[in-house]
Amino acid sequence: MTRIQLSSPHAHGQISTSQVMQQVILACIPGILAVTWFFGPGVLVNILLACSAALFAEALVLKLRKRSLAPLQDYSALLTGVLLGVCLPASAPWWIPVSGALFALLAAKHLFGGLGQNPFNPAMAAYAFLLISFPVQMTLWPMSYTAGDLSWFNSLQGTDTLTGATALDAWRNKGQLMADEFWQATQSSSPLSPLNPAMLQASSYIAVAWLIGGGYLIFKRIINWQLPLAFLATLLVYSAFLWGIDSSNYAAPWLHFAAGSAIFAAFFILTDPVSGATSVRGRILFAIGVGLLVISIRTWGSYPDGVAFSVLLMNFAAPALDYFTRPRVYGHKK
Amino acid sequence: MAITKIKRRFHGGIHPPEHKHLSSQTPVQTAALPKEAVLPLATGNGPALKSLVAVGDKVKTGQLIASCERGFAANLHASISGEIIALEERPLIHPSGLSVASIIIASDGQDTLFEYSKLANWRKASDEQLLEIIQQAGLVGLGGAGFPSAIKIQGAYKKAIEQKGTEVKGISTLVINAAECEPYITADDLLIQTQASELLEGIAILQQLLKPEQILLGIEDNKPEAIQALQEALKEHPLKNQLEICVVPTRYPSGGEKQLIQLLTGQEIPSGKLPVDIGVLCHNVGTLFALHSAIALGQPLIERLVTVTGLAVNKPGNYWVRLGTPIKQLLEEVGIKETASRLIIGGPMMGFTLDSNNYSIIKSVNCLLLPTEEELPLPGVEQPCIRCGQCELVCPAQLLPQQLYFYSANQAYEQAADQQLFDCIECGACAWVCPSEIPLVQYYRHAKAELRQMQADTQKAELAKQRFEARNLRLEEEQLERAAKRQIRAEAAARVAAAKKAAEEKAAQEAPAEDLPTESIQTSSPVIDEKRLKQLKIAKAASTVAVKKAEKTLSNLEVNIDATPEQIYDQLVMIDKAREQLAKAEASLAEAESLQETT
Repeated sequence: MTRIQLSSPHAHGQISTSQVMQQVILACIPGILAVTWFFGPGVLVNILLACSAALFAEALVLKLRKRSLAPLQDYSALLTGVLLGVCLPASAPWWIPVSGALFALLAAKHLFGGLGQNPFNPAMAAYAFLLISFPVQMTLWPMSYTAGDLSWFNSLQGTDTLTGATALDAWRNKGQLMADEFWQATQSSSPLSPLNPAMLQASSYIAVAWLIGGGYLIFKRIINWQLPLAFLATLLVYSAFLWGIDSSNYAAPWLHFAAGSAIFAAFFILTDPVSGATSVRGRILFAIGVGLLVISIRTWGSYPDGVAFSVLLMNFAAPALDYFTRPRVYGHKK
Repeated sequence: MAITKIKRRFHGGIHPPEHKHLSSQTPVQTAALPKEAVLPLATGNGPALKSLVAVGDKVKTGQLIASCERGFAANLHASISGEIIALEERPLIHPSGLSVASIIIASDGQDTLFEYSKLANWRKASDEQLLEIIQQAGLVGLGGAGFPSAIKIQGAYKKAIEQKGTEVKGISTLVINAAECEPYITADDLLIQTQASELLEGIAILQQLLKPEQILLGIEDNKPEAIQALQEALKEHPLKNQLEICVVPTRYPSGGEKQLIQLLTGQEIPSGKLPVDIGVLCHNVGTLFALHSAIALGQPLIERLVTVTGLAVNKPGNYWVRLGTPIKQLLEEVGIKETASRLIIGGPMMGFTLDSNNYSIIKSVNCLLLPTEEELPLPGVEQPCIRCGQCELVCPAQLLPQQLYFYSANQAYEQAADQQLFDCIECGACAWVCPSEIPLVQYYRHAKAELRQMQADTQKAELAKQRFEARNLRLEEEQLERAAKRQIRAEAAARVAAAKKAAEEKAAQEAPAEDLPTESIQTSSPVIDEKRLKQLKIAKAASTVAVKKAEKTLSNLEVNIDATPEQIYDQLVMIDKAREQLAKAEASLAEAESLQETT
């Protein structure tokens, strides 16, 4: 019998940090498949490059800090790489995912002390860094194909140098057009059409794929259901409110869900535990804050999709949220 | 009353694998009598008992062998008959593994009972009689805490009496804790299954004493046999209209006193208060069974039901074990496999490990758990906290365990206390769910110990300050007193000198012929006085230097953080001595000077 003196509890639950990370990566698979289907294998290349760079950066920092290389096995760097990779345009040059992943790991994670210490979501910090530094490369997506030949695979013979604006980008640049006029214009097949309808179709299918992955995470109790729900509900209520005021100028609520990264962010970005608030109430407030900022940025900001900036801004607010949402301790009055 | 299914919840909680079938499937057995019983005089908390026997005394089973004068600790009785062979320090079952003075009885193998006078019918006994027996019987909380039951019951009784007839009910609710939420442990379960009617009698005794409005028995829904047994026994029992069996969902830690009271009554115990303060008294079923034995059968607490379990045990089950039975003997009886990885006292969630078999069963031991390595693996490497918040979701005290962890790990103990660290019940749910395998409870215990130490240090420093100030005041007063005395002495000396002078003058007038000797005296005495005066002056200067030196050392000591209070105290004594010397020197110098002046 070993005679080690151990502190209670002597039993431990089954789940470990690396398993949490693995499950999240696993839940990304439907979304990754959908993005690949519509926009080509470029996204897989992005993920591969981002993951390799992330692991390299993690190993480098651990080496420099003279730490054990064990954290490489916790899958957290890999997850950052995956989350960053799927956000990037499939046609981005190779140095975009590489520099993004290096920034995420070196600046956003390890400068603050590594796993568990980073105040900002590494993937979103890297995304914001790339968006500000390389706006052209970051906003051009390869053209997704029309419903007839919906996917990239059906059009292998075609060129893939065509690029197009995303639905949110097109909406933001609609200028003086009224909503009706805008949607009418998208129906025309002229090259002057502001938006290829296939783009919107693709992003809706992709959103559904992320929803499936998110549902899996909730089912597995890896993430709390409150947080995505609060975020999506905020999006719905706020956008419906604006739309109700002026339906010809403000985007309809469905557009906010079908286009852009709202669903993906709801389940995979906002739920990052390290940089978010910790108490349940704090997390709900965090999600509501992100939702309000996303719609505001999309409506009045200078970027078509505001998820990265909204998340980073709310990361700033997380400590304050934690402070003001301390739960009432058993046996204490409020 | 019938069975109530409790729908109420407490915050958080977990569902660890129960493993109760391991020990609950075999009938209750009686362990062999120990050849040698080791009965400690202290329990690790509270005052130590005073032995009433000496080496060589013969004792009978159940005879009182140690007691506490003021009743703050539970009495101790011989658990076997035989001879006291030693009074010496033996290791006590306690997380610290410390050794305490113990009474060691060598068995004579007879197990002769010490006969106590029995109550003919406890239902007719007076409250005082009952309380006296409870006090004598050495009962403690058998659920694991080991708090003396007599104190708890007397406190509740006092409250019930004080508020008799007033609007406020002293004890409105009696809660019987049969939840037994810790995995593996089945002692309470089997006790109810086998001794349900005795248990009900125990409850009835408390009912007679305290007259609560309601009696709620809380039991987890994973013990259907025990619930069945209780129902059967209750059918014929006078309590059948008062006792309510409340079945709570199985969720750890529903058996925690605070959690069970919350489940059954919906009330929370205010922080820092006891259940009695909100009119609730909570007792474990084992304690109530022992209460019945004490009152109805006249048997003090000398044995208890212990679950011996784990995959490394050959014959897991529940055993009636005499107190003081060496663990080694018990483990030999049940058989231990080679694969046993450790010995845990209590359950896997809140128990503690022992480093050897050289301990003996005490009143609060409810389970010996001997798991294999595969069954309860050793903890993995602690990883960084990823703030996943699982701990907060499961915390039954609604704390923020990860915040407490950050503060504890970074030695920001005051901030941890500010986050209500002391409301943590150390149930271990947070550490159980932690995906990073952080030993959270260990951090909290450490932080609590540090905070208690800081508190004790502050108190000590405050006391030392008070002592120091009182001392200074006293010294000042003494100095003033001495100065006053000195003045009186000087005045007296002056008077004497004046009288002497007058007498001499008178003598001189009377006898002018004796001029010469007088002159010689007058010339010689100043010489002696001057010499003496010089000596005295030197002595005074030396004393002054000594005082100054001692004072300087003291001020050095006071700014030195490593200085112990003893050192400071010694220095104070030295200063005191030096000052006394100085005062003496000053006094004799002043005397001499005044003498010289007068002569």
